[in-house]
Amino acid sequence: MTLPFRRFPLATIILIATLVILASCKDQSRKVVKIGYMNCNNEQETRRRFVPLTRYLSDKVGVEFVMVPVDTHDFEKRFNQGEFAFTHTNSYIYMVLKERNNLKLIASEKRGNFGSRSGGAIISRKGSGIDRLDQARGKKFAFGPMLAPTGYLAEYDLLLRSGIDPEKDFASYTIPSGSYKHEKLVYGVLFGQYDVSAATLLDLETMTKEGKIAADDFNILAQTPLVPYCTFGAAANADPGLVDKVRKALLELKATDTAEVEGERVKVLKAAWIDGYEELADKDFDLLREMAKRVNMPPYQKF
Amino acid sequence: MTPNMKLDRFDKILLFLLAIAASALVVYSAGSFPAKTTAIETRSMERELAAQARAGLLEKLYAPVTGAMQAGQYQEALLKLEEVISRYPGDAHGFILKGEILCRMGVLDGAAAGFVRGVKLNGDYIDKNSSFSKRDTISVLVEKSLPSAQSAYKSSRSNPALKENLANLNYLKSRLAGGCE
Repeated sequence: MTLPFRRFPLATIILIATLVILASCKDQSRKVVKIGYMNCNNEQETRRRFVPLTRYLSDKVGVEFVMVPVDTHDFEKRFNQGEFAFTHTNSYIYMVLKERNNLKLIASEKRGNFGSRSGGAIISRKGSGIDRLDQARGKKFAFGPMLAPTGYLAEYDLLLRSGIDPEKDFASYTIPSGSYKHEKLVYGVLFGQYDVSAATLLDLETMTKEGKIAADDFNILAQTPLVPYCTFGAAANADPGLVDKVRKALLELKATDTAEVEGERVKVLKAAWIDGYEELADKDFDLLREMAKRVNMPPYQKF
Repeated sequence: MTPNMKLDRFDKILLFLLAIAASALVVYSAGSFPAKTTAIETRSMERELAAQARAGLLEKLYAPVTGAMQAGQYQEALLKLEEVISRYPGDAHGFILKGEILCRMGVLDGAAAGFVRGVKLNGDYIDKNSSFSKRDTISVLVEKSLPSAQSAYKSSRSNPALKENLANLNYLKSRLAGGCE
């Protein structure tokens, strides 16, 4: 008996070659979808945190997701230009894109003591003599980045509601330049560059945990209400089936899940500094909307 | 020994010695009972001493946290708690205090999660006879949160966060009812 491979050697070679080519093209034939990630501190950090998560989503959903690090101030413009269909932003940018582009809410990150929510505080250095919020009048103040919900908006709103107008009642106010603005606020108060500053509760918690600061270094003069933390969203015209798959993959993400990055198996949540994901409703962002209206910030700004 | 059999001197000495040995045994046994009771008392005392030492140590360790809580400075209390937890990770008292602080701040799902971790590590926190008991606080939290947690879960069964919160509250409810780990 003669084997068919011996009878048709050329056909066998062509068949094997075709199979090899098809197998190698498997990944390239997958649909490519871009996710825009808002840079929290800088692009390098964003990549380090979210490449494993993006790879996990690709593996889980069966779509080739590509991460696009985006500067916060360019986010809306680049989203409008159609550069990416999925978004990962802070809750303020989500709110703006929801209002103007009907962005769909996918899931929100959980991190720290308050899970999927975070808040802001107004702090002074212990021993500075500024122990109450009203003593902040006439002092040097610092806010976090202007598009930060719990580093700027929430504190600005809190000050206004407490009868302090940042435009009139401080000797001066500023926003630190460059990256790592949130940490600069805390160190700025600690080392006397500012008398009083805004600070996110999550940063205070993380810096205390890491031993960068001590709880006894600061007075917490006031605290804002808790509002949603960072959030995944999708363009209004994104495939609803794909949106559901991404949401499911995020909600199912566990501390033990890994993804392969440059030949190394990496724990996805640990790399991204996240405890997990939670499904919030759009109405959970209403508190933030009220703040933006009171502070007269986009998308509700009136001239 | 038959009835007509007479006891000789040797038998009498033997019986006398036997009586002395039996008496000595009774006296010795009677003397040993108080000693046993003392051992039990000692163990109870040891337990009491350990509990008091633990209470004293916890009070000292967590004094900055409880001080900030009493002053209504809940965020400051949480930060001070982070410092203690970083030195003594896995201590039940830290989780219980976190539960209490979050409860006072209105973060009820976080509070339930804190209490669950604490109670799983040390059942004294839910025991009404324990000096560490936080039973009343936990009862109030469960009563306040459970109905809304049940309806939230019914309206969105696919949401794992709502499921986890409901599971935590049900766990606390079962422990309050006397259920064991």
